[in-house]
Amino acid sequence: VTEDPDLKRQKLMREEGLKLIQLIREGEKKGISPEEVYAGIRVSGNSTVVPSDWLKTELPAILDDICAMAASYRPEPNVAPPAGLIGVGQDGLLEGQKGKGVLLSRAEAKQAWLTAGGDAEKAVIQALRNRKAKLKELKALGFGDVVLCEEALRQSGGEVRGALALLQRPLLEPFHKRMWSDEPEPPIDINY
Amino acid sequence: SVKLCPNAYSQDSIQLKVGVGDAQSDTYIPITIMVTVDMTISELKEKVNNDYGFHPVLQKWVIGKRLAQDIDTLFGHGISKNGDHAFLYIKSAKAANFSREQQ
Repeated sequence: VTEDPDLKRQKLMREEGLKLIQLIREGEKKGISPEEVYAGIRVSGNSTVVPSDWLKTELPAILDDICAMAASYRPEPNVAPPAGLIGVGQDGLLEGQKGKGVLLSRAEAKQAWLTAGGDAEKAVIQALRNRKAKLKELKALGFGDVVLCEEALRQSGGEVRGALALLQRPLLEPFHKRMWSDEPEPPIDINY
Repeated sequence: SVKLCPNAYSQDSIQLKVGVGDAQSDTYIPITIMVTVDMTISELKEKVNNDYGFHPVLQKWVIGKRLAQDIDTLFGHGISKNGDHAFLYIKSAKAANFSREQQ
């Protein structure tokens, strides 16, 4: 008796789905998100490897690669940007820092890697694009120094609000000094 | 009292424009703080303490013509959009009877 190919396909789909669910379930118990499990399986190309082990031993090196690629990224002159970079012109992506690349935090590299479904090269493009959007946001808030902004973003793991706090801290430093001063408050001018 | 349904307004963060001043400053230093409109003043104070190191007891928040109370929400003071304004007045530690040990 030959099995109905449709039934066979459905059976396989179900089994594979269950297998992934099982891995996701195990991952969750170890504090690993479904996205991490999935990206881990895709990159290792091996569903028998336990994703949590793989993430621990292999992922750090991949994130290092992503950071290194972003740091050495140079927009190619006179070449149309790759399809993934629509809207990012030659004067756009690394404005003010051509040839210098971007120093990413591990958190950003990981976020981009997950968004890219485990594809390291796509992750680099993704991370650079995210950075560009964040630089634009900070610029709109009055922080136009790209180098300072890049560093603040790196330190804050790519979080705009964290970077904003870092950039604004020096502005409020005088209040800290005065807060503890013993200088009397200015007298109240009752004629004013 | 009326309780606002948490879903009645956006959970997205907005940019609150904050002028920071104290007894000795004659101008306000403008900064931007990302907030959600359902934040309470006491949560906002905690955030400012975390990000900038001003203890909550030293912070006085003025929104519109009102001195905001800890349990008030930003939304309750009419903060709802990017670019809405508030003022943060930093009291001197001496005036607040506040010592470094209390930090």
